[in-house]
Amino acid sequence: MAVLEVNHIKKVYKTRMGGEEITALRDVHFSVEKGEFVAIMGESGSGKTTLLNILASLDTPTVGKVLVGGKDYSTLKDDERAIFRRTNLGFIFQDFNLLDNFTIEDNIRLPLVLAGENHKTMDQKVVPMARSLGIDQLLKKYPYEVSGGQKQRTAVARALITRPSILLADEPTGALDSRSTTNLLQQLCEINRSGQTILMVTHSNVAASYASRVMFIKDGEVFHQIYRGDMTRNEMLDKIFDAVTVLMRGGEDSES
Amino acid sequence: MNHKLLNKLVFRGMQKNRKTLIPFLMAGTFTVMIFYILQSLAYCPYIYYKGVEAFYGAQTIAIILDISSQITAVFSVLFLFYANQFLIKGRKKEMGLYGVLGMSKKNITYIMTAETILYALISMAVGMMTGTFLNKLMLLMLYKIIGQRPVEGLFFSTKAFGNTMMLFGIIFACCLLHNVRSIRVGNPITLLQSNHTGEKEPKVKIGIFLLGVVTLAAGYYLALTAKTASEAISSLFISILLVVLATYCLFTAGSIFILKRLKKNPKFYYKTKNFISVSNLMFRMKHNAAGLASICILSTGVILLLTCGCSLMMLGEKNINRLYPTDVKIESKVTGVEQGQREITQIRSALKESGIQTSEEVYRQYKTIMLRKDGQKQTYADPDMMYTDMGSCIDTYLLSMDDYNKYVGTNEKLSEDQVLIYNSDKEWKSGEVLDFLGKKYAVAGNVDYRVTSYVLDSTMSLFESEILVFASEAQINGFLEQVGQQEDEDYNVYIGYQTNGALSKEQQELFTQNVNAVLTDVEIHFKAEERHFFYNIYGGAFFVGIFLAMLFLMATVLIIYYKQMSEGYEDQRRFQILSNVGLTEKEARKSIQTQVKLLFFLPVGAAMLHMMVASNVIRLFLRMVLVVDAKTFGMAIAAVSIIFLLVYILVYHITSRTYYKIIHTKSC
Repeated sequence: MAVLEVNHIKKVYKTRMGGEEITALRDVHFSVEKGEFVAIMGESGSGKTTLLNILASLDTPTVGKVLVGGKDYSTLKDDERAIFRRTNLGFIFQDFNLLDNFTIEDNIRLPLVLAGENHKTMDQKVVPMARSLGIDQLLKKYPYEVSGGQKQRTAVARALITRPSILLADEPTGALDSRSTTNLLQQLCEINRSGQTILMVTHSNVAASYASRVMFIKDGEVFHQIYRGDMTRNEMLDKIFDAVTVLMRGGEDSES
Repeated sequence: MNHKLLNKLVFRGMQKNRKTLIPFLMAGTFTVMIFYILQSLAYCPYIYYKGVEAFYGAQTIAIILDISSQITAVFSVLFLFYANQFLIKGRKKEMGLYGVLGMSKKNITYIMTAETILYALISMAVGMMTGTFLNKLMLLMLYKIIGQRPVEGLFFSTKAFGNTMMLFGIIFACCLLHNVRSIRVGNPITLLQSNHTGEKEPKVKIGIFLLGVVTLAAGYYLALTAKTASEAISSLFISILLVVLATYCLFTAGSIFILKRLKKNPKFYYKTKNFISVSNLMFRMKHNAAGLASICILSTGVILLLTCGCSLMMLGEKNINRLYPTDVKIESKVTGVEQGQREITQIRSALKESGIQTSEEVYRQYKTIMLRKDGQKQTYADPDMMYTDMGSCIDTYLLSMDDYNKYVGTNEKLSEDQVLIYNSDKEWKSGEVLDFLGKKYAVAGNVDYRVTSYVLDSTMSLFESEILVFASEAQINGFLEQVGQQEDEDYNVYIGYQTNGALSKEQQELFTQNVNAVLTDVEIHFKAEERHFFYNIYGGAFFVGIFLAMLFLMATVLIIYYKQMSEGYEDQRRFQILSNVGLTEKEARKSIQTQVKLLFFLPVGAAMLHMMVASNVIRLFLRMVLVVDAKTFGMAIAAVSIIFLLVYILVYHITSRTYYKIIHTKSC
């Protein structure tokens, strides 16, 4: 069964005065199987942030359904949705979204504390998780004391600590230098290999080339998909380049 | 760059920052107004002007007004600086942006200067205008409180105007200097990012924490152990200083200490509601501890001032009755019982000549002696010696049993080793033993206070007072001889009358003349006149107290408002992240409420505690001017505290609305 099913969703924003309507998503339809690493690519304004917000249950689609593990959460109340979110989804953001006033350790613990877990079982989860991401030496430090890459790995640890069914990543490499980027992406691949479903939104070709499937979104629709199959990463990167070129040409055509 | 554009930027900036600016301008206006009103009342011809008193006791009121306007001045400096700092903090980013866009420092200085001058003009103009209108109202209010007939006509004091202009001109100029300096020092980029720097978790300053604990203990100890008015005088100032210091230390270091402790306990810390609250509170306390401590001190000040004012007004009548038990009070010294009787007849005829009808006549004769408490013993206090501990002195009145029987209308007998006693500080029981001038006496009972209280000298209320009734006149003379106070036949005499109806001014004058014509060395007091004087002085003090309390209250409200706002902006991002991670709205609201409430009521709680501890000293202090019974004083404290709390809660509701509004606007 698919972990995530996106059933023909449409999202229309009304401007504040109720006049003009803006269609952010026209008709998006896809599904993600368990253990996949999917990258969603698209230009700014293509609707990928809207899509991610809907997937993250931070926003609801105007038409259509999103099923996570076969369950539709758009029918849930706000508070229930928040609980659903913290038990089923893990998040990584471009700007890390760590809390300044918590140590790295407490930032990782946060979802567990929210879930009301016993503090002894927390320790058994936090330390191995930190070790697997190579931040076990930093646990007592504060976010402002560590590098961007380390911050993002903390965010990954925080996202994975609850063993979510999907890890949602929004431009996770956007604020990182190239070394940290490579490092993080390799780590994500490793996490994916251990069976974690990952869905990543990015506009970096390199970042997308690590995924097992790349989806292109344009003007609120899924425009194109590339499956990795048994391609190497470089072959994948070339394919992505080609697709992006086509995508951009198409954009020019429609503008002219 | 042309000035038209810059001026436009000034107005745009003001509009954009109206949320912080309006309270600032209100604070400015209000302080100007209060200072101006106090000043112009102090130099007002209807109170005291160029050495002419408008009514009895007016000079004292003018002095109180002047002193309190000086307090207001000091306070305005501190307070406007605080508010200004908050204002400029929010503008740094904007100025940084102007800098990036290519505005020179000169241009930015121009904007800052124009703004500050505008603020100063608005505050001063509005403040003084409302001040001028309210002046008259305040004067009438003062007249009402002190029972003076209202006057016609407005007044304007150039001196008050000048003083106000000068004081606030200087304050605003200093603010401007500070602002320009803080803007000019940084480069645009650092200004732009000024509120994005990560910050360290606060450290426990164990030294400051301990200092706080020690000073609090010392201050409380001084306040609680003061037993007499003189001790209260010597310890009041020190204990206030100690407690103020302690409040600042404990709010800054103590709060962090406790929170760190809580954080160390994983069982407590890793619970949803505690996890977020504890760590947030730690940072909040780091930023706001000083503000909270100020709120605490100001609140204590407000409650204290109002309590004193209320007890003065509530106890006024009681005290006048105590000071002047009868409508007419004559104090005299006579030699021998016969002279006393002669004086009475003379006074009676003086009353008749003055046309004063009386309903009751009181005559009391007594002797006095000053004693010292020496452990359980009461020994003679030599007037030639200076005693450092005024608190141990007892103002003692001696009556013979014969006279006492006459006053009470009984026919009791005492033996030579027995005594009847009244003591203002101690309840004596029959059978106890009094060690008086080296001899022991058995207490046979209590003196009837109602009948004998006339003899008490009200100007000596600072001391403990005692009335002793001994078996015979001879025995009393024996005591006086023993201590070398030779006055065999000399008595102090109290003669008092209750009159039928009020006395006119002419009657009073005529009576005084008639008495002075036949008797020298007598003091005459009319209750009505003394009451008038009392209300003039204490009414004036009460009036000024209300003014200062209002000022403090306004400062408290403003600090709270700014605190809520700055916290709102800090917490906005934090709660957004939390909700992304999956904190439910309900949990978030609950956590915010706990924190906000705790921070809000902590200072008032501490203020109430301070007040409770201070009540003892304050009561002793008030006893210098009037008798304060514990019940009325307690009621005054309770009433003032409850009203204060209600006002505070109201402010909480209004300001927390702003806070929630900020929290709920999502930042992207």
